[in-house]
Amino acid sequence: MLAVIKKELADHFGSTRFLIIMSLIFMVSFLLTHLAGRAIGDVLTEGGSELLEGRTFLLLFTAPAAFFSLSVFLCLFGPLVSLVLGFDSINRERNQGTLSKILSQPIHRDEVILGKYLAGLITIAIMLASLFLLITGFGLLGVGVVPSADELVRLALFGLLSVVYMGFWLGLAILLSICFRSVATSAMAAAALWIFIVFFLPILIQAGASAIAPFNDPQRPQAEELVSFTRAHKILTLASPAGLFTESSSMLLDPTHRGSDEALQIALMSRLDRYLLSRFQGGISIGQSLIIVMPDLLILACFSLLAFILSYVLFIKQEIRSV
Amino acid sequence: MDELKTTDEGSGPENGAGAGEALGEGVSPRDGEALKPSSPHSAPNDAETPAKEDSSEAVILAAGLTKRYGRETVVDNLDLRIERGDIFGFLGPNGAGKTTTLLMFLGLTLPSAGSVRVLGEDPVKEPLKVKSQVGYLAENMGFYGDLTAYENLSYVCELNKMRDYGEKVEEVLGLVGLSEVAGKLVSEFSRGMRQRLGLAEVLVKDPKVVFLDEPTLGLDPDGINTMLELITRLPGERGLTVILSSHLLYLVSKVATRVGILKKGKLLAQGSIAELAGKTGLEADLEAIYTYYFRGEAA
Repeated sequence: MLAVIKKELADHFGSTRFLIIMSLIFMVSFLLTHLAGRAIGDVLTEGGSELLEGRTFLLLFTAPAAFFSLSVFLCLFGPLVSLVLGFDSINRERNQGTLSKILSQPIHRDEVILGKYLAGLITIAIMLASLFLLITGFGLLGVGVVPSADELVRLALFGLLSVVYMGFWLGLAILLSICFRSVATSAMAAAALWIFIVFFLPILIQAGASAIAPFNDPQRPQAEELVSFTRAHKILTLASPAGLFTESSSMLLDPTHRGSDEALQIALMSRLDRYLLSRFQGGISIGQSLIIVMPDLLILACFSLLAFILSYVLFIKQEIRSV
Repeated sequence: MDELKTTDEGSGPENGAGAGEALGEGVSPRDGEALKPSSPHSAPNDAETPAKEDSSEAVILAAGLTKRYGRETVVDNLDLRIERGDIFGFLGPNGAGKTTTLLMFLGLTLPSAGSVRVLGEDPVKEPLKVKSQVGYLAENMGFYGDLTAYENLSYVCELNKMRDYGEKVEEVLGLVGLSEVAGKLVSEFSRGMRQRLGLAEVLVKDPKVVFLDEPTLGLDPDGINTMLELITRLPGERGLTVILSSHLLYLVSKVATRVGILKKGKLLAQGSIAELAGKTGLEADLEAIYTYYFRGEAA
């Protein structure tokens, strides 16, 4: 399997299309970080360092810049990297006649699919690690923000979360490359799925939650209606990898974020209660963030595993045919 | 049948000498039942019945090997015995089941029924043991065009978990006459060079048996002669058994010591050209023998 991984890694890092999409991701990330950095700099200059205490560095990832934050950008466009890495991984080999050559060597069939998947994950991990390190360096030099140990651990967890999320897309891309013999068809299917899952599914979830828990008067929602809607929305979001990633990344990168349930409780508190809470409650610890995020993280990991297992089973069952 | 190409080349009696043993007719390898005619034509079925024979020298021993895709039977109850050192010509038109049979020998396609032993191993249960001793040149062998010839071979060596393979790679590149272009990208290779590189990939792991599926496909006359010369040298110089699948009779008759004739998945006959000539009462002419079995009538 090591031979397959080595070959795939060499292919990925030498592939023009991967280098193009990676450069694009890096460029946009730097732009977003630069804009976020400027905004943070402004707040710090105006003496608002207390407001940002404990999360200044992580704001580089979460502060909405021109359009969205870096974490949201990774949620929306990070999948493209996985899709580029995987959409032709099997059918290209099949079409160029190298698959039967590989399989006629003394290696198990699962070593091929596992090797390709692991090589993709390693590529994604290396790309993200490089990106995060560069942004950290930018934070140090450009904004003068030194990350605390807590922030670095949170960033590492976010990196892990991103690998799991992009692993789902990689599994999906490999699955398409097994299902479709034509590379063009699998590319089209990958693009269609990306658009649906990332852009349309959130709209469908919103509509679904509204249908399950409608508001009598949307302008003035009642507390009970708001609770029902939020719960319905949360349950439906469990079916969306992008939604799970967004929720989990907010939780990991922002110590003051408490998830929809707690946010709802706070919203329903009296004004005095909210004031008291804000006075006495700071950011939550990494452990607490992890506990809150764990169910979402596990479901996201299940999505990734499921996509890979489907690819695996389908690939193992497919026969090499003469025609 | 119509797709079959024949010429008069190489059909002389010198090609009839083979290592095959006398054919045993009429007994099923597994259950002792009399063999039914495998063709609607009146041609006799001279396919050997090897399963109960001594397999000590048999490199490949298939019994009742069958492959079905849905309702279509691609390989039908194939009994076959190939001896060590043979150059066995697997004959039949396109779609006769030659490639599927080779894929079953390799364990890449699972048989629907029957069994096969390659070098004493079952490719279904022990595919790795079989694949480590068998080299396979597929009909449309693919290469990584963005890698050099040397790198393509190195990858095959790594898949075979070979160590210090540098010298071996250079040796096989020299054998197929590609030493000069070892550092050239394969995307720049001609068809003939690719076929020779394919043969090098087959040989680099020092196999005991090689399966060559239409190895001369798309080659010019010079390329064909070079390839045939290389194939002929394999048993003597490297102690290999060669299974050569082709629909080109004149090519097979040039190099094969034994042949098997396949039609719609059924093996109509197997043996040396001389043996088959003796059975049919024809001259040792592969084309005539083929026509006899294939059409079910005397040529």
